[in-house]
Amino acid sequence: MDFKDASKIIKSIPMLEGLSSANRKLLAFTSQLLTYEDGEVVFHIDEPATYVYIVVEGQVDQIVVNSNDEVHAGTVTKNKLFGEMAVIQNVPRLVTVRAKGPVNVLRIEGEMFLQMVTTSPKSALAVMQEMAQKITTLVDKHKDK
Amino acid sequence: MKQTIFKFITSYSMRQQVTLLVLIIVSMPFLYAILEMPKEIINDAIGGRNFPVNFHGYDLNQIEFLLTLCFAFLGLVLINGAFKYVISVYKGLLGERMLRRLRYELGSQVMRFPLPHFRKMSQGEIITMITAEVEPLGGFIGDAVAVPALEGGRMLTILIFMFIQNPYLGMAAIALYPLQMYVIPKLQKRVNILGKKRVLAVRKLSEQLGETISGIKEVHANDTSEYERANLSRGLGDIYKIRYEIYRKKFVIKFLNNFLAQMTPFMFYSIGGYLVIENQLSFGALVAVLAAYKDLSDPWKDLLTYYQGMENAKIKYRQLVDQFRPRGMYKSSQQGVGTEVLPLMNKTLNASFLNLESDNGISVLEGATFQLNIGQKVCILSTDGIGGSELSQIASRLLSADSGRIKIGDENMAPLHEAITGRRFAYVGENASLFSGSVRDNLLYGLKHEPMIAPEYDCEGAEAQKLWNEEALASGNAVHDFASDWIDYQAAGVTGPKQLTTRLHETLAVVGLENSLYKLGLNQSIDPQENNDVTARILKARVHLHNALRKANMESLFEPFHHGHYNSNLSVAENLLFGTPLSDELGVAHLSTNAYVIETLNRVGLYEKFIDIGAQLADIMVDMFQDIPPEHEFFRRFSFIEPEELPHYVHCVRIIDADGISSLTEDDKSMLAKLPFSLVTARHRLGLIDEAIQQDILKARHIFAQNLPDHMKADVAFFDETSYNSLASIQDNLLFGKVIYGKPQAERKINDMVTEAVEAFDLKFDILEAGLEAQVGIGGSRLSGTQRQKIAIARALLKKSDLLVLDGATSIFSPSQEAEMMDNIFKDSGERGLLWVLNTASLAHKFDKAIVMQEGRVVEQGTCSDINKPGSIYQSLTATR
Repeated sequence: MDFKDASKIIKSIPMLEGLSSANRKLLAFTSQLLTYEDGEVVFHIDEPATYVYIVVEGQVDQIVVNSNDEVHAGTVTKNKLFGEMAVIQNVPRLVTVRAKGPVNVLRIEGEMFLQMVTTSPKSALAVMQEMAQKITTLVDKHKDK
Repeated sequence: MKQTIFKFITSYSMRQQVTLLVLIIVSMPFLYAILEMPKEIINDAIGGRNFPVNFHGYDLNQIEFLLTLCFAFLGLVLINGAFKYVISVYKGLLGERMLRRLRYELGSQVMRFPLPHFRKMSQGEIITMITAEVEPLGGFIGDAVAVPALEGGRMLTILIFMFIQNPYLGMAAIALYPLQMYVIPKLQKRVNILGKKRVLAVRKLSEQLGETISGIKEVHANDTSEYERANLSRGLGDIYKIRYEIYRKKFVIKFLNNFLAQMTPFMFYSIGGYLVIENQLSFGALVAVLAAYKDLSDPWKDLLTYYQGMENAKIKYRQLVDQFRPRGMYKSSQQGVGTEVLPLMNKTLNASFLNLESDNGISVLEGATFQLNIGQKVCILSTDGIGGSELSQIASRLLSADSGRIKIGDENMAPLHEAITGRRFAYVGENASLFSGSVRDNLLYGLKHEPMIAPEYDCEGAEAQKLWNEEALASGNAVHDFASDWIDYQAAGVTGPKQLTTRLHETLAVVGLENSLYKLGLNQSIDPQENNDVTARILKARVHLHNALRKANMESLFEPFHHGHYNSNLSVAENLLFGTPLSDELGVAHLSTNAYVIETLNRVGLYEKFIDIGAQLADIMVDMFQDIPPEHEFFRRFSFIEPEELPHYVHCVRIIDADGISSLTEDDKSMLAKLPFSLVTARHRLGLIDEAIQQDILKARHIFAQNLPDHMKADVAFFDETSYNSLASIQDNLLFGKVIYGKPQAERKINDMVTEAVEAFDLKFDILEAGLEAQVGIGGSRLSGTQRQKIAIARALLKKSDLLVLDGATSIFSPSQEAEMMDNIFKDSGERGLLWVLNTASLAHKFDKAIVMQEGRVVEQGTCSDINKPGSIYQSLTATR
């Protein structure tokens, strides 16, 4: 996958959709394409958060570790962003992320991601929407119980 | 050291000074003759009447006579010149030798300073004194006898000559000397006082600069750079003021001197002219006297300068000697080689009523009394952290107490030779110093007391060494050959270098240095010529590693170098060179302007393509980066273009957009052709270096290597599957390839495989050996604090001393590291003694004996079980932690 494909994928991410073409290219150029085998860990819970990732191929599991018990907290699929929450809030990783089968991800510098998102009004709105979405999901989950 | 500079001169250079004097006296008649000659030429040859004349038995006509005299004059000029040359060179030699001697004496004296003196005298001060300040003294010593003799003699000769010509003129010439001799020294004295002030001011400045440099971290951490600048400015201002004052005074003297000197010719013209007119003096004689007077002013000036210099030198020498004779110095008989050193094992170290005050007058030790058996393991504990360190330093004779007595067996420790305290004792402090050199040099430092085995020289080398020694001896310097093998193998308990290496590795394990040395070693390069067997095994390990990677299906993590393959994890430049550039000439920054590289690229038609790719790259970069502020870190981290070059590339891109690539200047094209060299296809994924271009680069790679001109052969070390690259690190030689981008786990996995290959071919030992050759940097600055301490402890252990004193040497380690280190040191030191100033009281139970201190007094001592009683301080100390 070359730099142009990376740029296309970045465009498909709602939070990054509103970037200028120059910024999107810069993000694509500075990102790294990483490969993980099944079961390899992308990042661990409580690690400092320095990168944001996009799944290019395959999928990853998000896991919360509760006193030695692993709780599955969701799966991230192709063309979806993950790891952005901790970067935006500037807190340690909230979950552990592990490859489910072979996975290709695009790794973006957290700092660059933040700079891009904050300079584009459209992206800022997308961030808010994303947050609202997550809160809604949580509330729904709570209702079920 | 000699009290005054004249004593120094007479004691060490009497014979040379006399030789010089004789030379000067011999030269005087020739000087007189050369003064006499012009008169004879003018009066007898040019103005003579009665020809032919009889000249030493030959009849000569006027022209012949004139030429004869002229050639005689020329001959005399040569003889005088030769004398001047010989005398000057001899003077130079004498001065340089004496300077060397003086510097050596001062430097050697520093080795005997008591340690507390270094708190009063800074490094900067000492260094300027030994290097800069003594320099003029050397010059003066060379001149000490020669100048007054030579210049005085010259003056005297000239004066005699003048008096013989005409006593009145002679009187006129010296009439003003008494005045000069009275006035000038008076003025000079003021300049000298200023000179002294200047020396002190410069010393202070160097002390202050030295402090700023060693504390540079604090300057940054406290934002005090302006404060330090102001301080610097103040120091420089002081110096400026003094120097300016000196200039003003100096030029007043110069003016006065010149004025007085010009008064004399005034008398010659008036009185001499009158005498010639009155026919009482020949015209030739007046000319000769005038010529002689011109010669007279030089020696006179030199004599005056000499006088000024002498006054200066006297003062300066005094100052130096006073500074280099602090109280409490080690005696010179306490240092040096050739002392018999007997073991101290099982003797008793007995300290009674030690008192010590700090520089601020605070009491550190108060009547401290203790004893220990050398061979016991003893710890010093302290309730308040006071006195333990000092006690241990007194016990190793690095410090002496203000009062009290410390004995070893029946002998007083104070007058012991350093051969005993420095070999039978070992001391490691909290911040041990390393010396620049390799790790091995530092480990063996404690064994280098005297030259043990002289180096072997061939005939020529031996002759050179002999001369070298003679010269050292002539300056009273040490004649020990620095290149000798200084290592005292016996002291380390081994028979020779081979066993020593084993012992070194053993010690590395004791202090836990193996891992960091292994890492250092992997990054070292070694010479295949000297380590043929090692590099052969590394090459085998390389094949083994590559096979193992293939077997483990790990080829996707690692791309080996192959001369016939384009390596997508290397840059275009590295792919083209297929080697390590050894000079800037072939560095990435200069590749695109190197004529041979351009020629090579042109041969496969790549240069034009590179311009094209460069244009596309520039387009992308300009697009991405033009809105990023130039100081932003993204530029440094990601851009192919320097911020300051960006406008130029913007310009290029605009021209291409408007008129096409052909309208660019050669300069622009070269700028563009530079860009593709840094591309790493796997990393940048720009798709600019396609399969076809890669093939072209491979062709260029081969052409580049085959036709490389001779003068560039030293600029690159090619990668070669079958040979060892002496300039690349061991690690790079082992890997011979690149870990692939984008595999986060790859590095760790490959490292495991490398370790496996290293073990399979027994390379660990050799890598550690290479690690021992790693340079530690100035003061060990390239290593971490813990590494430095470990090396210092290992250095002490290697000495196999009877008593190892560890004064907070392990306080930098974590508690668990410290405990582990302690066990290892206990094991390694066997029956030998240990005195450990312990900060972690909970470890005290491991020792045979404890000395407990409070407020500078020894309050409890004895075996740990004896003093571990309810209510004892020992118990409270060890229990609470």
